[in-house]
Amino acid sequence: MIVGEQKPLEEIWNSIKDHKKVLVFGCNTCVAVCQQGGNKEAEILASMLRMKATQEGVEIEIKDSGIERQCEHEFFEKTEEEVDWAEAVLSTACGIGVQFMAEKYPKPVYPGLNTTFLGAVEELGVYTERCQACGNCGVGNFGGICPIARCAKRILNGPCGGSTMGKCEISKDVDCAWQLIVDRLKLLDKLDTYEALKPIKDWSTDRAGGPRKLVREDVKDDS
Amino acid sequence: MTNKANKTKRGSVLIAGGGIGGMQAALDLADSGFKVHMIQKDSSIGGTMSMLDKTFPTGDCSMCMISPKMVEVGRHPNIVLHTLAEVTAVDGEPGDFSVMVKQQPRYVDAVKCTGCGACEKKCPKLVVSEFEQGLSKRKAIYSLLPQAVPNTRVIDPETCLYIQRGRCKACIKFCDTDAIDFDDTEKNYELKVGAIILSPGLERYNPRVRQELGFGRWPNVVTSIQFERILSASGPFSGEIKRPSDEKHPRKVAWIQCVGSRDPHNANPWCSSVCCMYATKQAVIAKEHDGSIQPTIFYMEMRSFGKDFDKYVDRAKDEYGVVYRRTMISDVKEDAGTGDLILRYADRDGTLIDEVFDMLVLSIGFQPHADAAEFAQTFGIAPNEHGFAQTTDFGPVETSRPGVYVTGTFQGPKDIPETVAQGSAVAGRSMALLGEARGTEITVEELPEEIEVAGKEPRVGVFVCHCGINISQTVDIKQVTEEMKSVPDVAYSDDLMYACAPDGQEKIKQLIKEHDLNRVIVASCTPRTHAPLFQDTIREVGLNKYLFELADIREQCSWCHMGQNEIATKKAAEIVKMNVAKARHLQPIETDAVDVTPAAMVIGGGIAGLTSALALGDQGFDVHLVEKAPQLGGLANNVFRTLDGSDVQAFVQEKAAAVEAHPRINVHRGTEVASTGGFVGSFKTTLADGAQFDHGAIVVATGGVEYEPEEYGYKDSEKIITQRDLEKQLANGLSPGQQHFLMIQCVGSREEPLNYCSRICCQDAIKNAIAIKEKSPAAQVTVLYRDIRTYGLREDYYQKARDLGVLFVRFEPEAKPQVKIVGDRLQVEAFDYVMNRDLRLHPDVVVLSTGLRPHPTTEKIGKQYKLTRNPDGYFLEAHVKLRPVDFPSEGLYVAGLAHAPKNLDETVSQALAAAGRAGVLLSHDKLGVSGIISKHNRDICMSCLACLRVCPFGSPFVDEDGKISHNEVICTGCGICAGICPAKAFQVNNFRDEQIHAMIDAATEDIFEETSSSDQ
Repeated sequence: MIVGEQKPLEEIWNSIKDHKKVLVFGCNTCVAVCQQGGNKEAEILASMLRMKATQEGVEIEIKDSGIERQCEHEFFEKTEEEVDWAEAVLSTACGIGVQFMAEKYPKPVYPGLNTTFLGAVEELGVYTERCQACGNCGVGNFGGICPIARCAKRILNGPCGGSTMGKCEISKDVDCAWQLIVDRLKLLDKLDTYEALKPIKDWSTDRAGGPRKLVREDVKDDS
Repeated sequence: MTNKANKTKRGSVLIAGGGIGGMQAALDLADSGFKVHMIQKDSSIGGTMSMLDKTFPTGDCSMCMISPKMVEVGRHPNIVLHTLAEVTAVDGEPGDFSVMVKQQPRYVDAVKCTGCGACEKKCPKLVVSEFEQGLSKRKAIYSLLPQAVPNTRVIDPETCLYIQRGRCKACIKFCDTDAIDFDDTEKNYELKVGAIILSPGLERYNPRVRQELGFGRWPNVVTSIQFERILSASGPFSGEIKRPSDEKHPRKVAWIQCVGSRDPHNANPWCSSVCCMYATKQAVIAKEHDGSIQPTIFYMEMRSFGKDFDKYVDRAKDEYGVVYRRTMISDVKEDAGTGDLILRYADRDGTLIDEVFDMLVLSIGFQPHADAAEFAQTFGIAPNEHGFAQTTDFGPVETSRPGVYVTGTFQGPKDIPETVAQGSAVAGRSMALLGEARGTEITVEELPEEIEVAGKEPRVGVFVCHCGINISQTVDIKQVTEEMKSVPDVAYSDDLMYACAPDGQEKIKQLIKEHDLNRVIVASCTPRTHAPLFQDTIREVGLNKYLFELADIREQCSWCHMGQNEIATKKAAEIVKMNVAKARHLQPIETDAVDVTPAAMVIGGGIAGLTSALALGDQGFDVHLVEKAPQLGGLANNVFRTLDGSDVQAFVQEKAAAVEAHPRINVHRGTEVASTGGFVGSFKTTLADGAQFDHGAIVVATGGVEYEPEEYGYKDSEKIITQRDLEKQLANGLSPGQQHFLMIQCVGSREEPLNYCSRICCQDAIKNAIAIKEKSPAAQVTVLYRDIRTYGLREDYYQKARDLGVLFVRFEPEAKPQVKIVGDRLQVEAFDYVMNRDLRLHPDVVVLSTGLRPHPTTEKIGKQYKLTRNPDGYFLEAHVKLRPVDFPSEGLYVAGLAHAPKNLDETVSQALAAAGRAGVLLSHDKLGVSGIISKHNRDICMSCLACLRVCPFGSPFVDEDGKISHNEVICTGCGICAGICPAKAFQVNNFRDEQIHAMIDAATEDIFEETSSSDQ
């Protein structure tokens, strides 16, 4: 799931304060699950901004709306009118939604969130990173633990010398990914895979190869 | 149970005493199909708890907790209140008693009286108020307390000018409803009931007897109950802390403990059990009211023996700066002129100190009513030597007369939760006695079909209540009523003198029909107490009861804006408008009913589980008793005698045999619960051995374990044993070499990491010490202790042990005794504070008083059933005061050591209480689901699981499709899910977003109009 975090109110306010009609626009999938950018959060944020406007003595009309996902065209059809009304949109989607919306409409679309990472819901209110979308998944070799996402140095033949008592040298609160990997392999009785030297990773599937695109010819609608 | 000559039993119970214990028993019985006659000496029910300001440890307002219960008792169709009444004779046998009742005249017709209080205002006769403990005055016509139930006045014939001197009648003149009746006379009548419950409560010790403490002489010496009234917002000083002599705010306030208690020579020999904690609470609350107060508590022993009590005392010391001084006060003098009080006491090293205080509170104890002997005689029960009802450790709620049960402080001094638990216990006992007669004497109301309102335009009726003068002296009722007429969708608006009075309700019903109203608003007082009344009223004329809204313009308007009539009227109009706006969005709510399986599962086969199982089986329910061990009895298998000398082994064997032989009880030994599915009323459990059964309720009686000590060399010598080991040795006969026994208390208790009192160890030590001394008087017994906590009537045994020559030496946790093994001898070193010097003793045996720990399965069971535990690992009940054996999750109850350390008699009480509470549930064929629950819209839910994670009751669950579904049966409507749900898939009935938005919009539209118009 994509995890996001709402930007500080002051920053959001500064981005929209010069417009007269602003639509706060929620995205009701990933960022709703992490309680940051769903349609309800958009409604709350709109209310906070109206209060802020009253406090600042700024005349500005703020409405809220939202859709299921801001990364798909069809969902936008139902809210065309509201988006048309707005002079600017504050999107509480992840970076994908914000850009996707900006491409669709000839008006400013501002981000309401910082897109944080791809992560899991550890417990309510606690989200942790698990994947960096490198485009070439190798967790199978590491007992199901990704050293790219979870080792600070992204090393493939770890650990480094900074692993102490199972913790990473960057912080006592961060587990050493390689400790986790070794523990896991031990549990699975596959320590021999640990011994095998991993070759240098081909990063071309990652961002290094520029923006990525995936086409499923079998699914794609060519009509 | 023997059933004499097939006589039919009566389905009704008489309860003598309307305090919190009696009320709990009444509600449990009435809710489960029994008719209840409640006899109350006073003009209102409520008892002592209604006089208290706050209760610890939560600081909840006592009145706010008890008032809804009082209202519930007053309104319950199966409870008949007989106030100003007492029982004069009892005849008959269990199942069929004849009771004679004498009722004093009230001189006020309770049916006609609206409780407006005009009479009281005009009554010229002022007399000292008993309820306010003499700190203020009341009239000759009065109500005992503002929230009196029944809510009607009473004339005190002793002081009424008309009754005494034949002149006045002011009350008649000013009563609008002609409710005053001076021809009222004493009535004598007979009631037929199946069982009798005694809950008369207790009197308080009169401290005038202890002249040296100055009560009655020095005005600034008050009793603890007076101090409760001083703290109370409805008390004589409106909650400001003032001292009586000059109404000055006191700075230094002292409490003296044990006034009238633990004093066999001058007062009562027993410990009143509650004073240590109430004094601590009063000191904390006083400090909260006025931060400049410096409280000091003078005490003999800190008896904070209950669950989490020590933690509360620690907080009082550490966070509130309450000073505790372990010393007795020998003398109190008033400083002439200032009214201050000089207390003389001895410091630890013996130095006499005079300390000046602004105010002194005497922590007075409990004692039986002056007429207790007569009372016992009337009911034909045996009193104990102190005048309390005689009971045993194995039958704590049984009096000497079968079919007559006792609860609360008349059984022995105890606090609120234990009284409430015993209230449920006697209810459970009565249910077991009368089982088959359940439902035979109650009346079921017939209601008309509900009128279809869906799709119809809202027609809102608004009724604005004067509440006598309570609202109308501040709010212009006519103006509010008129203003509402122009609000959209309001079809009718009118005012009523008393909406809650019978004539007011008749009028509402009639106007609903006349004007075809389909939404009703009463603008009056608190929804908590009055909304159910009006909901019933509109239901009687066919409106769904959720088409009602109560606009509170009394507590939230007229009372808090007294004297500001103009703005109060404006605010009242806005409050009503908000409710009209909401009412437009109200929809009828259909409430479901689910089937109840009339069976219970009891987890744990110790004393608690055995007692609960038997009580439930006797009530006529099937019981599945699950015990992990191959043998029933639990911890009690290692106990031989109780403090009162009763044979525990015989008791356990008798109970276990009764359980095994009971036709309704299925015993599953040597196994445990594998899984439980379902919900309240219809659980399905599979055991580890594969057995499966359905049941409607669960009693968690998983018990505790004894702490195995690491300290004091327990593992190093066979001469260092525990109390339990000693008990076994005593049962088998002591060896002649054992001449000096040294006991050490609080081993593994009251210290980090498990900083709580295990409650049983003092009794255990004293029990064994007495047994040693009785067997071999020449033997020497020394008890090293921190505080001896022989609370309540257990104090007798502490006294007895001292009389037998047992030595008690106190130690402090900073200087604990040292146990050494020198050669083959034991050597114990300690410090004696009385002699002020070190001690070195050479006992033959060191006996460690080890505490209790929660059973290891507690954690697992807690996770399995989503039950929370306190930091020490014991289960947390739904409410520490008023719901002591319920879990927050419906259908689950707790009993025994799983809840907290306790003594055997207390475990029996609690187990009976759990059975009583479970019996209330299981007695219903169907379980009505409240209308105010959260509704889940699965279509827009994205199964993010936020609800699942936050719900304290486990009502959202992952269904067979792997998505979230919602079990409405166990939903309480708390709304936490609606708050957290990012998809707004949860909406609480009657608190739906659009309803709340409509209210906010209605409240703010004028503001926006005003601001925008002022801008222009």
